[in-house]
Amino acid sequence: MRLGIRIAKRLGVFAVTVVGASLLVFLITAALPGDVAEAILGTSATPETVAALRAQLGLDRPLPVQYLDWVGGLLTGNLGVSHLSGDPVLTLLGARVAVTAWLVGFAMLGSLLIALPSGLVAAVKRRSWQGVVVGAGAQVGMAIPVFWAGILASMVFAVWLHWLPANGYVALTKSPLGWAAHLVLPVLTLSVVQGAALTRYVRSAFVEVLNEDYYRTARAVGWTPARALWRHGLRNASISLVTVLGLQASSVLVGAIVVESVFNLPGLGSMLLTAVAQRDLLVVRGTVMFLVVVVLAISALVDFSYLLIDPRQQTERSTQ
Amino acid sequence: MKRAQLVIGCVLVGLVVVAALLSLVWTPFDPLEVVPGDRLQPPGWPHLMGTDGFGIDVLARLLVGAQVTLVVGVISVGLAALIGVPLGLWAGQVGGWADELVMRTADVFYAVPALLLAMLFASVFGASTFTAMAAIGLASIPAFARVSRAGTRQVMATDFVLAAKASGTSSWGIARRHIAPNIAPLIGVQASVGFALAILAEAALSYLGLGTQRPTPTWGNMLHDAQQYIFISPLQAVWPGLAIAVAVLGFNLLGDGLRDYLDPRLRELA
Amino acid sequence: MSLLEVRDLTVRFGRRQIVAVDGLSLSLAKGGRLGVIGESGSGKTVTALAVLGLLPANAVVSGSIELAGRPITSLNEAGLAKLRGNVVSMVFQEPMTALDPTMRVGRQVAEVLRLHTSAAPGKAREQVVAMLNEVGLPDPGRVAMSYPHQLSGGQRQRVVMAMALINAPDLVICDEPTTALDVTVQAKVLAKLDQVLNLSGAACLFISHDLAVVSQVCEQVMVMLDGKVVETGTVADLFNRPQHPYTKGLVATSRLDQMVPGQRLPVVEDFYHPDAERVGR
Repeated sequence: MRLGIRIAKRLGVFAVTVVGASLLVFLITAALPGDVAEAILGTSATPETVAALRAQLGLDRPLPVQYLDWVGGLLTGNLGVSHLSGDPVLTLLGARVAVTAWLVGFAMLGSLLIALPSGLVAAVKRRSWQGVVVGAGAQVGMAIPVFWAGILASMVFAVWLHWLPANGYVALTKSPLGWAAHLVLPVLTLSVVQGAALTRYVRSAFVEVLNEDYYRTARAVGWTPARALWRHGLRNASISLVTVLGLQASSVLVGAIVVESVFNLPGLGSMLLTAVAQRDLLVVRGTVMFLVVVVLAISALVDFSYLLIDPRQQTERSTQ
Repeated sequence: MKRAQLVIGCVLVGLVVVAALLSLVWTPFDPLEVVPGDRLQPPGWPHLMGTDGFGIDVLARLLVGAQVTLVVGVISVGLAALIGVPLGLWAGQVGGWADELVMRTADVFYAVPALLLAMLFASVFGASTFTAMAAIGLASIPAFARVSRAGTRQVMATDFVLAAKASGTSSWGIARRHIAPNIAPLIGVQASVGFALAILAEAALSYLGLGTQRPTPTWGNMLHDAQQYIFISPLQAVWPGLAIAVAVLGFNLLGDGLRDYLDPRLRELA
Repeated sequence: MSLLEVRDLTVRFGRRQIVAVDGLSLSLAKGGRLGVIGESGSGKTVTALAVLGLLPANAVVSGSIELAGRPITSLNEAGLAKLRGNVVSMVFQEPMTALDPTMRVGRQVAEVLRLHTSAAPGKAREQVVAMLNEVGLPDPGRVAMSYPHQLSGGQRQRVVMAMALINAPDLVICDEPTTALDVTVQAKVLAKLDQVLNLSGAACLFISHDLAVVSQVCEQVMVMLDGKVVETGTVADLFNRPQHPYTKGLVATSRLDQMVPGQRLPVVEDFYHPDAERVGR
């Protein structure tokens, strides 16, 4: 029963942070002393046309009304309408979300595939040269901006070697092979950069396990170091790793937005950038809110997954 | 071994600072003047790193770019620390509802990364160095609040704080005399790591056109311009990236070095 | 032929070559028991880890250790892993942390069994429950399905014992197995250990700082001080005719029944002063 209360509590926190985030997003875009209508129309616009646009965008109403109106729309799936194209924001989102989702999903997987083995090596061999090399590599990888990594990757694999296309995107339904070819470089770029940061967390999580008594017990009953770490380490380390993955959700998402721009992928990131440049306020607001809710939902899911991984969580209040 | 981290970090950070200071008084060429006849020169003499698509010396722009990097870093990290540290102190000392309020607010800000904040700002005000700094600064507040809260709670649980309370020291007195000196090193480490993150964020924003606008050179917008010439003049896309990596690596090493230096338990583990 | 033969074992640590064990020799027959007594830092645990080949990488070992005719000091990691948990096993000091918190204890015991024998899963389960029963855990079926945090300290230590004994090893090393437990639980666990060892006929190297605890399991005792063996003999010899001043101190502090009420408690330093001894050397 305690489990049920914990889940309910966490859902409550999720709801509160979503409301808080919606306030933040709304206040920045509506309450700050910048006039969007004026910005859209430029300096040559007459006061009448500005007023007309303000009315059309709903900017002439009191703030609380505007906010409640927007939130009410969010709850019913109505994120507003792009004032440029006239399309509902939700439709625009739907058309772009798949590209970003593929990129984020594969990059998460890719960064784990890089970080788990290299973090394991860095932990087990932490006193020899292999550990130092992995550590230094991770440190350097963390310092490389993701868009530069993307530019270098397209320089090497597209411009010089001609192995893969430098940019663009083909839908999966149109040509699975073309789809894959266009995704390889972006995913690789994002995976490597995220994987470098993740490696450091994996390493320290495994080093912690190496210092635990149950690791010594496992060695004493005949497991080899690598197998002892794998059997007992992965599960115990994953408790802290899951937290990191949750925290990484937002940085992978940000990375994906940047990478889309490097490789000209038609995802949410490039849509956002266009909307920002055109001052398409409702598209920016709706898309940002969508991304924020995704990040918050992931971190809530992460907390729930603790309950599955760590048996202590199911009966005790905390691990400490 | 660990001392090496600190030394390398200091050297790399020093390099960036020297470049920025140098560019205030001297650059090899004018970093803004367009020279059509000198477009896309390869590295050599007199343009050590070549020229860009406008015929401007890349080295000159790289040096000036260090200024923007440092200014944005200092202001956004300063802003974040100025707001985040007192909030964390307050949350850690008062606990209860104050703690809950600050930490939930931090959660909210955590979910809206600098890039998204910058997009929101840019869609209202138009993109500028100022909106980039505001976005990065706001997004960095939670990290400072969390670090100082955790440190404060640790100090609050010690016997010397209990003794101070017993002898009638006020909360303000405890904060000033006991908590501040004890969490200052933590804040220092966070500032260094936060600086590295701020540099990365600033570079990404100006690469995307959401930060400092042309003609002011930044490492990010230089990379954006260089990307269209990767077929003809690939090295142009190497220098600014290298500069960003050096600066970020420097501040990260500095932060890690400081942390290990301050935490003897960690030194044993490593 | 003896089961465990340690000759002139010396272990040094780190760059400064700090000596943890200094020229130690011991011999243990099949089914025999030997208590090792000494204060913390006297080299007891290091000796035990050396027998298992589990010393940290910065340890430098000289001398020889032979276990069941196999030279421990020259075996590789794979060879050692085959012996550990099978021919020799260890019961650790801290039952709170010696078990993996994320795995049911039955599975942790079963894995040791299946690591060294090719028991089928169902068969292994039966054996595990039988073993848990043997070490004195009531309702072993339920215990097997529990996670470590759901068990008491005494129960956990019995699980650790079960892990050490499940493959019927020739030698069980117990490193302060009851130190972390309440005194009342201590006696029960020790009695059970004694009984199980008798049943399986395993030899035992029993490490403790407490003479009273050791005397419940072992006849023969070895006293260690600063990495050296200072005295060997039966428990009775040690109690009645301690030779070394340190041993005299140990005996005096464990004979509280001879105390006169109101008198100051004896301490080891009343009999043995490390500094004085060193000057004497």
